[in-house]
Amino acid sequence: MFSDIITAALSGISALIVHVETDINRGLPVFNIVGSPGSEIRESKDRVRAALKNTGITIPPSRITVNLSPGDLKKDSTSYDLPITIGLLTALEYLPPSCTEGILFLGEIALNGEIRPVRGVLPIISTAAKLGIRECIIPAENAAEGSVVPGIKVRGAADLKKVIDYLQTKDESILPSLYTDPSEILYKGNEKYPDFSDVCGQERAKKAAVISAAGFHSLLMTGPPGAGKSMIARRIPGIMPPLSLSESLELTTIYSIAGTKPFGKALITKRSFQAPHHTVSSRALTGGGIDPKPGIISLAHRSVLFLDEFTEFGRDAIESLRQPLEDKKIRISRVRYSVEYPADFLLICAMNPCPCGYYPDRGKCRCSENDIKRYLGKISGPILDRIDLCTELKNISISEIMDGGKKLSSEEMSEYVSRARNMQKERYKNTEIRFNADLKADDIKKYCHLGKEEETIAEELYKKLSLSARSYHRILRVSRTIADTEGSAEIKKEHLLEAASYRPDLDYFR
Amino acid sequence: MYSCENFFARVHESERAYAFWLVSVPWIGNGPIPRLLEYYGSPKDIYKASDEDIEKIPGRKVNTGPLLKYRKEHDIFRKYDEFQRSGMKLSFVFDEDYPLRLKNIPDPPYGLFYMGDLPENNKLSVAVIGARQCSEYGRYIASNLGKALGSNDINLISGMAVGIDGISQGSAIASGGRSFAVLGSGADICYPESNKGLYEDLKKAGGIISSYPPGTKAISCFFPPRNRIVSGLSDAVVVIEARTRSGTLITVDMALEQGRDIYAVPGRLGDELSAGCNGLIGHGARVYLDPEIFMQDLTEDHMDVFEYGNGTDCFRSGKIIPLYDSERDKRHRNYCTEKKHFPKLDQSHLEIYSRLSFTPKTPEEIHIEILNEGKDSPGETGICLILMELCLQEHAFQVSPGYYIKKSS
Repeated sequence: MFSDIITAALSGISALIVHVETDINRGLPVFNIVGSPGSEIRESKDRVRAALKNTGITIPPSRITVNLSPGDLKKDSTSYDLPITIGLLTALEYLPPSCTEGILFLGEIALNGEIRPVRGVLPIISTAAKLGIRECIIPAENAAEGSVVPGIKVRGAADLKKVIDYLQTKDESILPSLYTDPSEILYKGNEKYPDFSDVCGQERAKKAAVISAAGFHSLLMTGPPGAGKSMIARRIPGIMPPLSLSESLELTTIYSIAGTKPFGKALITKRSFQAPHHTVSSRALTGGGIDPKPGIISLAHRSVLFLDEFTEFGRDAIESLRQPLEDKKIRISRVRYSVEYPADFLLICAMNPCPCGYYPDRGKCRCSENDIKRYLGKISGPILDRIDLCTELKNISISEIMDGGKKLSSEEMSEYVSRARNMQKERYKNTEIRFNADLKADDIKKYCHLGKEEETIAEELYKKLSLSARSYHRILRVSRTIADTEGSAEIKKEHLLEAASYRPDLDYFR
Repeated sequence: MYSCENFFARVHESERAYAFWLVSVPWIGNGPIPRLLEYYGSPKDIYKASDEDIEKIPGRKVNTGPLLKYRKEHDIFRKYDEFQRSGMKLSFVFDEDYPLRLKNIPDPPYGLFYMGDLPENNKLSVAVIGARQCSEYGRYIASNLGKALGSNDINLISGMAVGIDGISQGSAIASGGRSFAVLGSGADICYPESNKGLYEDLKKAGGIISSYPPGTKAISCFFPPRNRIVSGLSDAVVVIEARTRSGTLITVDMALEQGRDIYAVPGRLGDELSAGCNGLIGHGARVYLDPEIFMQDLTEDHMDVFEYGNGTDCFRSGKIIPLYDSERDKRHRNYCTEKKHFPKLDQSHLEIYSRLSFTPKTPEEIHIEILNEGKDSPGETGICLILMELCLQEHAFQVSPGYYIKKSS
């Protein structure tokens, strides 16, 4: 007998429909799986056999052939267990062929018949819904994630027995279909982030954090060890506006594919904070692998990628950030596949000003000029070009630690950020631009208009600070954001000056 | 003591190759040359003497091994020929162009290898020395002094090291002056390599001098003898920044031995990099106050340089500098009481400007300083704006991200 079951395979951040065709024939009893299966799928037959036995069904000795179509697509996933099992049962006429029609199956099966969670559920179900599939049966632990997709009945099944019972009886109470309104989850708005009020002093660094979050400007913090660089970075996701629905769906998709999302959670509702160690490889950052998975930069999508000890990162790892910083996505091309993952992250870097960390305090710092030059030389020029803001931190005094006075809190800071974000949204309504940081040279002329007085200041800045054209544009972009945080439509003199004080200028010795 | 007659005795043009042999042996130093010359008379005679003969020089043993080895292994005439074509120059102690100041120090180097020129005898010359890892303060003083010397046609002698040395020499050249570097390596080797630009500039506007033969790599033990030449070539030595135990202070010892005036740049107490300088002042060194005052003092002390053009220092010419000089005293007094003119700034800018110094400060520090005095602070961001304006008006300068120093006009 023959059967045809629908399932899906991941491809980048979307999915492809895969047909599991099963044929049962008389002949020597063998179980063959064809159609470019990976080792996970070849092992699947043993899981299927044991699971069926433990559910009380024995497979009669016969020649079983399973084909995964399209046959030229390489498939590596354990999510084919359930469709293969169902295909087998249908082909054995244990289930009527009509009952599986139009249903997408997904899930890994344990030897005792339990159905285990798989990754990539959200992209698969949304693709299925788009293609007109109206029903799917997925692992119970993935049900919450799948349930946010409208237009498709999502049923979560905990074990094989339930699936078989449901297919035989079509009794909705066995596997009820789930739907959750994603906006409801999203706008509960009780995400906990660490608060900026924990940071004593460092007013300027906090301001830089606001500007960075408001205009999506990459930020570099320099300062001695223990000044609070990581503390500030960790708090930046908390002052960004809450995730919008589309952002949240995007993020959930990425996390689902990467397999790093906690199962049982419907959506990612919190902006993440990715802080890879400086020994990270470029592959881990960008993603890839035999079975493509998003890397750290994609997990930091719409949130913060924090590189502590910036100078210690490998050249490869840092250089691999160049394209994603420019294009806001990463294309991974290998012999076997070519996938694209979104990677629109806010780059926050931290480093010491010199190898010992105390420059320019020459009482403490004994680094030679050469040591410092070599140290700074490790920073990649092209990446430094893409960093808009630079701020320094100093070790704070005891009086600041003891001071119980009011400190700028995340709440106040996020007000500035959302004001600036709203202004940007309004200004760039019908354009490709999302944030001030995206402004190119010609956009700057259009959107960063300067008054008479400001123009002279800008000219002076250019001459006196011996800026390059690129760093001049950078100052204009940042001053646009500073004006936005203050709700000012015009860029004023003080905005320009403040922006100039944040310019990244690591050429200490001239 | 041996007589030094033979040491200074002119060697005939045709015998220069022998003298070249004496100074081009690596690792020989200046030690055995005077004794050999005293015993044999001329470089040629030394060369002609047999190995056994040389080893039997009476008195304390002379380390002649490298000399003899070199003689055996190389054809010195060919070597000298090659050297003459290399573009580098060599001046012996008996030559006309050998700097007179250096000739007058105890135990001068027999030969000086150089590129560019040698310092002129009839011009004042000043050695500027100091720490390699200098602070912003030292950086500022060094470039200020270099600029003043450069624009007043006073030769600046230093060691081309990173830090004070290189900064002062660079700014002397930039302001159109001449500067000379004495290296602890061969004159054809740029050490440190990071000063390659300066090295090339010095060849054109001054000179690169070394007592070591071409090709000698810099080794730490070559530097003290180098420092002796730095002070030997100059009329006065200015110490800009030095820790209490440093190579700079070794140079000072040598300069004192040679009878040079020592000027030290005072620093704050407790500032490690100024401890050496402050110590020197405690021991009676002159205080460096200002490039103008320094140059006036210097010119008065060394008038004979212009008169005779012989570069003999006052120590030898018999002139005695009075311990108390009313003119000078008045000048120094004026410096202290002279009202420093602050730039014309409004109150808020002046408030911030007056808090800047040559020690880099962050806006945050200034903010706390103002708060601690019980005054109203414009806040870190406000201070930052004012600092940026001061930078634009060239009253302040940003040394590294977020750190500002005062910039004096």
